[in-house]
Amino acid sequence: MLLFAPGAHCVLRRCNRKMPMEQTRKISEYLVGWGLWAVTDALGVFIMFWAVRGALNALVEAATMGALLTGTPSERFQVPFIRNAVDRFGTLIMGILAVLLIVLVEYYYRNGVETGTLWRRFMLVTAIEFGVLFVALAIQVIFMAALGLFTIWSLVLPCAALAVTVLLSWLLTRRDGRAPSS
Amino acid sequence: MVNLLCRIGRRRRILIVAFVCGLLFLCGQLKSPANLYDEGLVLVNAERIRGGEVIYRDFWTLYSPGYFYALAGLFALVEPNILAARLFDTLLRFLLTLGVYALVRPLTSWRAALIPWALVTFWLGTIRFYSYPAFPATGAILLAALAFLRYVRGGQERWLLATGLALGLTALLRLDFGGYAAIGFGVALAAHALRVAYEAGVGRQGWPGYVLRREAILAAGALAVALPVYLALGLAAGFATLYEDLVHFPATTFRAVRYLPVPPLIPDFGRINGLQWNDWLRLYLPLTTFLAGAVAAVRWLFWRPVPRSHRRYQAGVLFLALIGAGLGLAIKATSRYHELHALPMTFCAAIVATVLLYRLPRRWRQSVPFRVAAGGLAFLLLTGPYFVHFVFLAQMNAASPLGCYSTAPKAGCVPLGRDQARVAEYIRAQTQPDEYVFIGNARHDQIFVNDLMLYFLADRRIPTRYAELHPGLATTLPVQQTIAAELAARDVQWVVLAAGWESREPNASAISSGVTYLDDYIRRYYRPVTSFGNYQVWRRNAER
Repeated sequence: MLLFAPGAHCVLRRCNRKMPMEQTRKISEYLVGWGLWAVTDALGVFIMFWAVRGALNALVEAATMGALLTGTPSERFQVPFIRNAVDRFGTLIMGILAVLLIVLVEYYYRNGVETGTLWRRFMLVTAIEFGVLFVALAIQVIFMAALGLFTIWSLVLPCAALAVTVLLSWLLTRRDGRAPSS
Repeated sequence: MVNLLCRIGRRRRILIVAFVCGLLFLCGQLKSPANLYDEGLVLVNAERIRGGEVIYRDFWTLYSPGYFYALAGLFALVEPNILAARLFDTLLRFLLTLGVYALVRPLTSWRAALIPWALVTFWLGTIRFYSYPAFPATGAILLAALAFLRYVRGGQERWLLATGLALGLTALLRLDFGGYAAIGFGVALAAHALRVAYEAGVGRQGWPGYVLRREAILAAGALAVALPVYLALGLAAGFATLYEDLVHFPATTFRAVRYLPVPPLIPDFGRINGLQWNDWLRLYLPLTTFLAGAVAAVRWLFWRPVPRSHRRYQAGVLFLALIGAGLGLAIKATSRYHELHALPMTFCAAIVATVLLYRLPRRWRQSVPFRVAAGGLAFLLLTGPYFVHFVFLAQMNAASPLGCYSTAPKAGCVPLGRDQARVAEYIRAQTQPDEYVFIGNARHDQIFVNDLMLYFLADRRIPTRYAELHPGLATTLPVQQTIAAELAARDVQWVVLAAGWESREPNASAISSGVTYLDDYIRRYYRPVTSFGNYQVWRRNAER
């Protein structure tokens, strides 16, 4: 029965050294894939709950600022409830999106390992994440600036996020431009 | 109609729909509240011209005559009211936006040309400040640029003459704009003529004559339009008066009493707030665009010259003209730095930026990293100062363009201040149509603005050449003595004094001149009769 065990034929034909190496390589690729998946998930969750949530709140604050400053007493009364509701529902929706991100990225990276495009896929997803980070930070800067709040970091952080996005997209186009290896 | 639409190509259908939407958008602020000073002074001066008075001779203004006469002509055709003037202005703004499209289209694609068109339409549709002559003057610069582009492409001198005519029109609408544009177009023409002379094999000795001949055609066109008008006005009002009102006062006193701080080139990031950051962008982003455009123009024209038939060459020559004009407009904007005054140079910058980006090598333009970087930077830098800010402006006291917010005869349904409408009604009820009424401020030693719109709404004769009480002018003793003498000579029975517009600006308008001659005169010879909010109506005492 041992003859039907995986790799048993290699024992007989003295090819047992090749299979474990391939398996080891595959396992290490999966491990790298899981590591990148963890990085992507952590980054995605951080961007969602820090930057996107901040941008959403900035938008709501800007939209309700008029009511708060010049509205009727009933409008002013409603403002904190509106802001609170948007924040809570926004958090809920982002939680759902975070779960979707985790599930979809795991599938996407696993396929990437099988097709040998893991790093390309990681760069694409990270570029999108930094793009979202840039847009979220830019929205915060634009609306916070309208309220008079502005520091050097208001400019540096979005520019840094944009720079990473551009760099990753440049790397992606370089990889795409190369001739496929035979 | 449907058949007609079907016969028109898809691109034209899109353009027609876009332009119609643009026109409707420009009408969106038609019923925004009346601007008592900037809008009022244009309407009042137009009415004075319609009444037979001569600008500079019979009334003082620091602005060029063109728009006042155009509006006076309109008021001769239709009933003079604020809405009629706004509709006329909206039509001119619409033509300006079409000019932007027409200028960018031959150098890019029809889709790319819609970008600056949309931007300019958005800004003009939200900024309000109706009857502001700087916009028609900018439109005339674009007209000159269109004719100049035709000249550069075809070489026919009639288009050069047309460029000059448009520059002359610009000078009639705004003398300063005309001057700046003339310098820009003169430089661009010199560069183009030098290149043509070089390629035609003209020797170095012949270059000055070759260039000067073309400059002379340009100047002849400009002078053919502007010179007769200014000559006639100079003969009527005196050339010294013309120089003082149009050149000396705007260059000296105006700057002293209207100056608003210009953002420093290198901002202090430790202290800068969001509004200052937006102000900084509104000045330095166009200037950066001009710098990039100038580098590109020099490259395409001289450094690595492209054939004259190439669109890059034509863009380079156009850049020189628009950048020259735009830099002048930037200088103008810094004499009173405000988003309104920064807009004309921003129009030029939007055109230059679009053509410049489109003329980049296709390999760059269509690459993903370039698109991401350009799109991201545009989003970060343009959204705050150029979109959100203008949306906020449009939302202030927003009113539907279809509503009617005033029953005052000359309001044309445009909303007025409640007290302003009441005092105008009172004056009309108490006075004869040919009676003089003086509208001043509660104090004249320190002036920020005065309610010129009230003159227009009250529809009574103006007793003084200084209807516009400009700080640095009406705060001086000779002018106050002149006004008092005019009140006495014309036996003016009614005076309206308005309070509440004290200057808090960081310029000389916030400082009292200490001259109270006019205030003393009014208090001595007039008595208060009634008041409407901040407005007090005074009547001449029976005994003098």
